[in-house]
Amino acid sequence: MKKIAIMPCNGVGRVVSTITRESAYKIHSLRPNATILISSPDLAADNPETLLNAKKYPLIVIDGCKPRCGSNIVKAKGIKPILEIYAPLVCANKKIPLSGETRVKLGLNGAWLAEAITGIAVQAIDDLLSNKIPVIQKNLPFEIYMDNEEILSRL
Amino acid sequence: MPEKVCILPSSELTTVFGKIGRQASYIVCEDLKPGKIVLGCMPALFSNVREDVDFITQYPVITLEGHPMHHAAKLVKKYSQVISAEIDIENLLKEADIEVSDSSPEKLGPNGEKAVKFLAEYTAKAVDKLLTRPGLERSNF
Repeated sequence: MKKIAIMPCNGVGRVVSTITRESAYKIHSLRPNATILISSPDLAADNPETLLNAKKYPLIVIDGCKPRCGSNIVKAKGIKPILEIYAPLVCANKKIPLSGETRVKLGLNGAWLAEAITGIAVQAIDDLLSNKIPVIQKNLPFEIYMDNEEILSRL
Repeated sequence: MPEKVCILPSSELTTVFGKIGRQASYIVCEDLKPGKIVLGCMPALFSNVREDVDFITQYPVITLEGHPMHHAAKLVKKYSQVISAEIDIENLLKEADIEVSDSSPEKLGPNGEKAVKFLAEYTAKAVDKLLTRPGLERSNF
């Protein structure tokens, strides 16, 4: 079975961390058989099973804030993600106001942003699983790695 | 005596104990001990984000471990810092006879919520002990 790994930054300090986490759960619930969740603390701590999965499957990283910790962790482990989604860019692009949102529990706008990120990731997953390079919405300046052969060889 | 305590939840994505630890840390930080807690973020600490490194070097650290491998403590030790309290959430709940099979990493059921409250109160007590310990200096957290 082809699978794509999903890793949100999964931090605790900011609202966007909660949003990346919620997005990851939503992505997995929409594509349960085609995705596997990677826990960033597990990966940071070199949990062997997590490390293996992160290397084995094409990996989508969802970063929540400026230090881009999710991307930093995977790169520190020698893993090249196939797609990095940066939540603040999606937020700005969709013009979603996050004032009043809390990290403890998301409100409507937090959930809206989580849905927007989910939509981008699910589209990319579906493209990848159809052996296509993901077509990301043209107006979103995501970093995407277009190493076709490498991505497809890992499926 | 330290002015604040750093709580560092391991915040695993795929274990219910990760969620319980994360939610409990928010309660301690925002409701039980407001102004007395700094909340450490594991991914940020791994990424050497200055603020998070300062948290573990300037204040006593309590880790809330949601995985048997104790990821948070492992990371703190990489910075050669001492951990004042290392709380294994699964074991603690077992000792307290709180089972959380009604909960998942995504959503907490009533028992999961009870576990969060219990862990938050337990952690707050640990915070109190650290905040009132005389002679607790940076060198011997």
